[in-house]
Amino acid sequence: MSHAVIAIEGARKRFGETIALDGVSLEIAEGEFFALLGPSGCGKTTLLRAIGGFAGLDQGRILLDGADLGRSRPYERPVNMMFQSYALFPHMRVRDNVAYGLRAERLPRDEIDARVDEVLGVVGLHDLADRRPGQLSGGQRQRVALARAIVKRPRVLLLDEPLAALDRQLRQEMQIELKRLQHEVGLTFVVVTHDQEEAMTMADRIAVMRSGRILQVATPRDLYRHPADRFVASFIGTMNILDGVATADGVRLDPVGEVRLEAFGAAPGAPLAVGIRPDDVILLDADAPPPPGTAFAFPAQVETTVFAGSQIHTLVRDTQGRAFAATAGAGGEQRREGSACVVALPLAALVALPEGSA
Amino acid sequence: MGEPRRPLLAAYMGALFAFLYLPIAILVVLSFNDSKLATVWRGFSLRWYEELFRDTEVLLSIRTTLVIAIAATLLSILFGTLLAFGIERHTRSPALENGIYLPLLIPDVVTGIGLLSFFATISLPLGTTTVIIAHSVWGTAFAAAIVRTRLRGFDRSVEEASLDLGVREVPTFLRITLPAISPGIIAAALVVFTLSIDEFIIAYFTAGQTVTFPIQVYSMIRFGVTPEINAVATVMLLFSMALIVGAYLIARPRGPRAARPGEGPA
Amino acid sequence: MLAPALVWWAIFLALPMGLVLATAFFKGGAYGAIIYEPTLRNLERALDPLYVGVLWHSVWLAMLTTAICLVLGYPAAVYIATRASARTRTLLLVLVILPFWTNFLIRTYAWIVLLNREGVVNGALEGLGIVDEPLSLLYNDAAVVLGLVYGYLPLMILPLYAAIERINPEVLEAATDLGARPLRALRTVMLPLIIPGIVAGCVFVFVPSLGNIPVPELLGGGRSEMIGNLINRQFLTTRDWPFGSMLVLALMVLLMALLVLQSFVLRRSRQVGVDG
Repeated sequence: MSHAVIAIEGARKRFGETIALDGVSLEIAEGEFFALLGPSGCGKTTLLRAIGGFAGLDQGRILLDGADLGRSRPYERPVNMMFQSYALFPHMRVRDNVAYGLRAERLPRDEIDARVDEVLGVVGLHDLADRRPGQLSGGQRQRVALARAIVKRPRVLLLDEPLAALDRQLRQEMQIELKRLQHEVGLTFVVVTHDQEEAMTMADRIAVMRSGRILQVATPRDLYRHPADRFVASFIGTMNILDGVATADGVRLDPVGEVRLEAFGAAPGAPLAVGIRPDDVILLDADAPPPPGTAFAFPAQVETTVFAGSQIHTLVRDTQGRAFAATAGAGGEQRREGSACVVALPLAALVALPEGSA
Repeated sequence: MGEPRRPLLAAYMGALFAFLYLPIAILVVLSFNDSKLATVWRGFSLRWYEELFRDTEVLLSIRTTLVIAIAATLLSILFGTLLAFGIERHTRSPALENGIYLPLLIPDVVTGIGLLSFFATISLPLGTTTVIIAHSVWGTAFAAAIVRTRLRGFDRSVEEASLDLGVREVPTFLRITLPAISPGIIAAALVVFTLSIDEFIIAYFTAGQTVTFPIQVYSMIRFGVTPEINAVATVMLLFSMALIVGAYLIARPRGPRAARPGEGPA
Repeated sequence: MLAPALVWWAIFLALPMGLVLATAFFKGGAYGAIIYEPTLRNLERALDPLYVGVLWHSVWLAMLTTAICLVLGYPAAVYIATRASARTRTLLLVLVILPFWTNFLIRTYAWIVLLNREGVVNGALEGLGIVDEPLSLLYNDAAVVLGLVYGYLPLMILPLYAAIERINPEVLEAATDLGARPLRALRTVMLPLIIPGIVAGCVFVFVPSLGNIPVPELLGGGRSEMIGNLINRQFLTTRDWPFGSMLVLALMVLLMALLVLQSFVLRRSRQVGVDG
């Protein structure tokens, strides 16, 4: 990884009773597409606004290319923001919106024109350059907001819920589009989102936040495969979670049994949950023997089953009343609702989930 | 995000409120001053209030003003509400929509002179009646504007539901529409009433020999500054403020405001 | 439903206006009589430098009042509009409006109590030994403008507030984020977006200031006369109604010019779409 463009050290911020940032430290690398992911109120927007210079920190500092940003004003920072509402200037044409930041820099007029034209080309808005924001669709406005920020060639582009205002289909298109654009312009993107799918699709790395703290920073794949705790596990995708007890070298699941598992320092006897993704859960006929490598196997009954095109989702319930979601490829067998089966959990797919600090 | 902390602006706001309220506050304080001189405090006294309540001219003018205000308010509400309905429901004429604000844009002196000339020409004797008519001219505009705002926020499908459930137009209007917009009507009534009580210039031209309360105050100010005016001011102040707070409590918007972007942490 | 109000206005608004318009071109006779003979004499008289001077003086004082209200009102409107809690905003607004709903004459009178030679301000200044002789604070242009500003400031703050409050705060942040310093952001983003509010506030303050009677009467004391006083005198003292009507007509022409200007400014700024 190349050097850190943004380094956040021990950031703390509170608004009255609410603690928005509770000691956040983070490094974001040059050229990275970085996502701050978490539920609303987790502090991700506060962190983004602190980087942009819109909110000061109570404690800690933010370094840009190694230099403390201190209390510098937003207009002094080589960092630009794409606002959630896009915040286009309603009284200016698209072209003037995009040129606004360059005019503030007092660049020569022909350089401004050239750069504006170039960026309008990149986002595909050449034909709409003389429209006003009120005459644009949501997706077009989003592109103007993006163009207006990237034309400044910021060291870091901050995106506050960039796709939240778009409808579902456009949102999925724009996820890919943003990713492509980021490659094309070669800027560092920091995006705030509450949508885990969006973060997983776009980001190189994701920081999962909750209650003003960072729970885990990892690539999408690692987050999915090795969530650091119970919250991350349930926030990223679907995870079946079983409550167990930590043993000296693993976890015990009453009354099914005990396996060796890296337990991340949970003290023996302490509660410890284990998780498994639905696509790792294996469903077998009632009398079939579990395959090798199975950690736990127990009888259950099929409650509902849904055929969703490329996948089959099955919900089963074991004798203790615990529900399990299992997902199989479309080629798999669709089980009859109410039929008996055996749930097998492969050892390799089990993840120990400490309660987490938050 | 918290609101921007702007100590300078906050200090300015404090100074502005001092500017707005100190002069009034001084009147209130002086109304309890035993001395005739504004600059000398001779102790707490209610003597100006006693004088005020023995002053039959003042009391009579208050009575006249109340009669005028009540009548003008009733007329204004009647005309204004009908006008609001007509504009909201039965026309799409921008000229008319903007036209209802026209009476509010005409300076009081012009309205007053116009009516004075008119009443003189048709030989209608000046007095309480003419002031009532004069006040209802702009009162109607105020009432229409306020009721119309309320009418706009009213979901018509509620009326349609009533019709659908088998209630005819008139009972639907009385049982559904009127209660829904009544806060707007009451607020409009309070506003017109308060403005009528305070109105000076138009009444000055159209009252003839009749003395309304503002005209009485005006002549008291012109012909000798006595602390009795301070007592009058204090009583008026309390009365107006009570009316306005009442209007605000009735007409205040209900329901949560839409959250504005940028508020609250993430 | 439109009929009652429109008929009412036709009789008691349109007809009187027409009457004033007509009277302005009749002759004034002795003892307040109107001689129904068309004449341009009133117009000629109104164009006398003496009266044009009063008219110009009124416009000047009303403009000064409007400008001061704008300068004083803008920061207050910004402060109120940027409060995060809706309750605080409402409370501050109510506090701004409340004085406006108290009797205008009494509020004007308060300044007499404050500013006259035996008044509170002079008393304080003498008490502190700052002046030996009471200052003449009343009966000049400054006192009139002060009284008008005091009377109509809330009418400026309200529309300014409404315009500022409608702006998406992120739009202003965006200007800052893109490198605009505060003054530049004010000039290029804030002001263009609140032009309708500025125009409304200016009209709300200018109109009643221009036609005011009690403030120049009580605080100007005849030494700072405005058009309203002149009209007042023609109708109630001199009883030259045709000439008075001509002065009213002049006032209305002035205001119509203002309204045309207003709609022109608004049309220019109206191409602004609503940002989502």
